[in-house]
Amino acid sequence: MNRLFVATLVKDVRERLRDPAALGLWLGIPLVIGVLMSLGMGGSSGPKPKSPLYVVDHDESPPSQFVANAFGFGPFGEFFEVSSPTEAEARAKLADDEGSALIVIPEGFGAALWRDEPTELQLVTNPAQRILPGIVEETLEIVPDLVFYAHRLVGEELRERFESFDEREPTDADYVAIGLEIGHDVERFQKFLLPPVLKLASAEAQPSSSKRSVSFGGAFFPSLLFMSLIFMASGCAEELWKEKRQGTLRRLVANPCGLAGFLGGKLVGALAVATGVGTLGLLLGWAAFDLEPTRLPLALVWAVGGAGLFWCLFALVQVLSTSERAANVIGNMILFPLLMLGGTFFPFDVMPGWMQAIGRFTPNGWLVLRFRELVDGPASTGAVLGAFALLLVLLAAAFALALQRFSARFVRS
Amino acid sequence: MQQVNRIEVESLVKRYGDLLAVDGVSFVAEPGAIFGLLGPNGAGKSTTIGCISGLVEPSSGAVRVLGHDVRSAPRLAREKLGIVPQELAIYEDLSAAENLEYWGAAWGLSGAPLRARTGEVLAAIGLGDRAKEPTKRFSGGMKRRLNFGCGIVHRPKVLLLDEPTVGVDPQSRVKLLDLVRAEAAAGTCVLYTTHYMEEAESLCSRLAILDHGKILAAGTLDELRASLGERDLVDFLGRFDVERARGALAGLTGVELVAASEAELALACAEGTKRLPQLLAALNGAGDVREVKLRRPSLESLFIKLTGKELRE
Repeated sequence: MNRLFVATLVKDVRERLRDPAALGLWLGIPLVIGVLMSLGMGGSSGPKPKSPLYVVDHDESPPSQFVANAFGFGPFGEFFEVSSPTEAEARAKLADDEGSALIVIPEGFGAALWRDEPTELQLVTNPAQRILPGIVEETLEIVPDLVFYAHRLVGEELRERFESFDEREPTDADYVAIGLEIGHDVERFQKFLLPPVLKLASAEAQPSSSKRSVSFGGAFFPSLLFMSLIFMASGCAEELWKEKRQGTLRRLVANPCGLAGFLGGKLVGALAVATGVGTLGLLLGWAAFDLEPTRLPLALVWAVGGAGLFWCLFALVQVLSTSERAANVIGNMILFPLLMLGGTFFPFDVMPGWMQAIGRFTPNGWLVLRFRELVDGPASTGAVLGAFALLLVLLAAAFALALQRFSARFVRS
Repeated sequence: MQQVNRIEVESLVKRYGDLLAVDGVSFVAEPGAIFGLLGPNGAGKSTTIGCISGLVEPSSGAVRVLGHDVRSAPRLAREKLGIVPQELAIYEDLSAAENLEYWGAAWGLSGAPLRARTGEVLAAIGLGDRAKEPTKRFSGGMKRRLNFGCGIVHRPKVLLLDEPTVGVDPQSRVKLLDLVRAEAAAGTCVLYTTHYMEEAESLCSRLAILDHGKILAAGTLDELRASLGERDLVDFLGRFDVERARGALAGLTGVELVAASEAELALACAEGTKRLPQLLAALNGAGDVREVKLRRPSLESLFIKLTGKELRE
C-alpha cells in the first residue's frame, strides 16, 4: 500500500482528534442553526413557506366550495397553498412526499348537508409529515359539529325546503333563499340534542411502496446530518491551503510515492472523520426519531460517501483558487446557497415548490433525498445500487479533477 | 546496476516566460561530500534545487539522482532523496516527534525502526526534551532544526539543503552546520545552497558560484582561490574620477581594477599590504580616499572579481 497514503491518513486523523473544537463546531453549528431556523419560522412576520394542500371537489356546490376554499384564507392561508388537481394527480404527489394532505369532497355532499343525510369527506394525509396534516385533520373534525349545530338551529326549515324541490337539484337562487330564511330563524332555535350525522373519514395515503412514517423532526434530521457532514468536508478540504502555507507541499513533491497517495490519504482521512460524525448523528437519530436500525449501516455508507463527494468538490475549489482567501470566499459562496437550496438548511417539506424543484438537482439535495429513502424506504435494491454507483462515479471524477489540478499547478505555484 | 549516490546536472535550463532563471547549469555532486551552490538571492539556486527535487519542471537539460533521471524515473530518483526547503516545511499542530514520524513514514519507515530513528534524530537536532510539544511553541531556531531533521529522518543518500540557516540564531546555525557535516561524513551526497560566504567556505568541498542563472566558476575552494591568483582585494572608498583612476593604475604592474565607481574602487593585487603606499600615491590625483579595506583571497573577493559586485543579501 502507498506509504504516503497511510502516513497522511494517520496524520490527518491525528490532527482532527487534536482539534475537538472543530469537531464540536461541525456537529454543533447545524444543531444551533436548526433550532434558530425553527424559532425563526415560528416567530417571523415575513412570508413563510407554504405546503401544498390538494382539494378535489366532486360536488362543486356552495357548501363544498366553502370547505374547499376554507384552507386558503385566514390563518390557514399562512400554512397551505390550496390547489385542485385531479384526484389521481394529488394521490401521486402525496406518494412522492409533495404536499401535506388531500381532501376529497364526494358528489352530493352539499345536498346531503342540507338534508341532514349521512355523507363523508375523505382526508388523505402525507405520512412523512405530522404537523400540517394534523392541522387539516383537526379543522375538518369541526365540520360535523358545525353542521350538527346548524341543523339544530335551522334543520326543519331546511328539510321542508329540500322536500319542495322534489327530484331536482337546488339552484343558486334556492341556496340564497335558504340562507335568508336561516337568518330569520337563527334566534328561534336553541336545541342541541341530536348527535351529528356527518362523519369525517380520515386515512393516510398509501405510498408507492412500503414506507414507514416519520415525525417532523425525523424529516428534518437528514438535513441536519448532511449540514454537519458538508461543514466537515469543507473544513477538511481547507487544509490543502494550510498545507501550502506551512510549506509541507514543497517537501511532499519530492516523495517517491507521488501526490495521489497524499491527496487520497487526505480524502480517506476526511471519510474517517465523516464516519465518526455520521455514526454519532445516526445514533442520535435512532434514539430521537425511532429510525429503523437495520437501515442505518447503509445510510451511514451513503452519508459518508456523500461527505467524500463534497470533500472532493471543495478540494477542487481550493486548488482552483489563487489564494487562501479567495478559496474561502468562493467556498462559502458555493456552500451556503447549496445548503439553502438543497434541503439542508430547511427540510424539503417546508420549502416552496419552485425551491424544491431546483434543490432536487443540487448534489446535497440529491444526497438528502436518497438518504431519506434509505432511512425511511421506499428504496428498491436496483435504485439503491444505481444511486451508489452514481455516487462512486461522481466521487471518482471529482477526485481525479482535484488531483490533476493539485499536482499540475497547486503544489508548484 | 550499482547505485551511485550522486547528483548529476547537465545543461539545465529553466525559463519562466522571458525570464531565464537557470541558464545551462552543469555540475556533479559526489557522495560523502558537500557541494555548494553559492550566489545572491535570485541567482537560480532554489530553481536548480526545485528541478532536482521535482518541484520545478526543467525547460531542458538533464538531472540524474542516484543514477536515475528525475523525469523518466522519478520514483527511483526520489527513493533516497531528502530535502530541506528554504521555507519551513513542518506541521505546527503536531509535535516534533510526530513530524519526524510522519516524514519518516512517508519515506517508508515504520514500527520500531521508525520510532528508533525518530529518537535518534530528535537527539541529534537537540529537541529530545521537547519531543512531545506542539511545534507552534518552538522558537525559529528550533523549528529550523526540526525542518532539517524532517529532511534526514529517512536516512537519505542524497540531501538537498536550500539555505537551511536563513534567519537562524548563531547557536542554532553552528548546530545545523555540524549536522550537515555529519550527514556528509556518513556518506550522503549533500547539495547545499547559500548566500553566506563563510558557510560555503567552512562547509563545502566543492563549489559553484552562480549569478543570473549561470555558473561563473566551479571547483574546490583551493581551485577557486587559485583562480584569483592568490591576490588580495583592496577596496578604496571615497570620491573618485573613474577615468583618471583607471589611467593612474594602468601603469602599475600586477594591479587589476576589478570594480570601479565614483564612490568605490576595488583592486586585486599580490601583497596588498606592502603595495598600499604605492596604490595610495597613484590614486592621489584621481580623487579623495576616505577609507581603505584590505581582504585576503576569499570566496567573497572571488565573487567580486567574477561579478564586479558584492554578494547581495
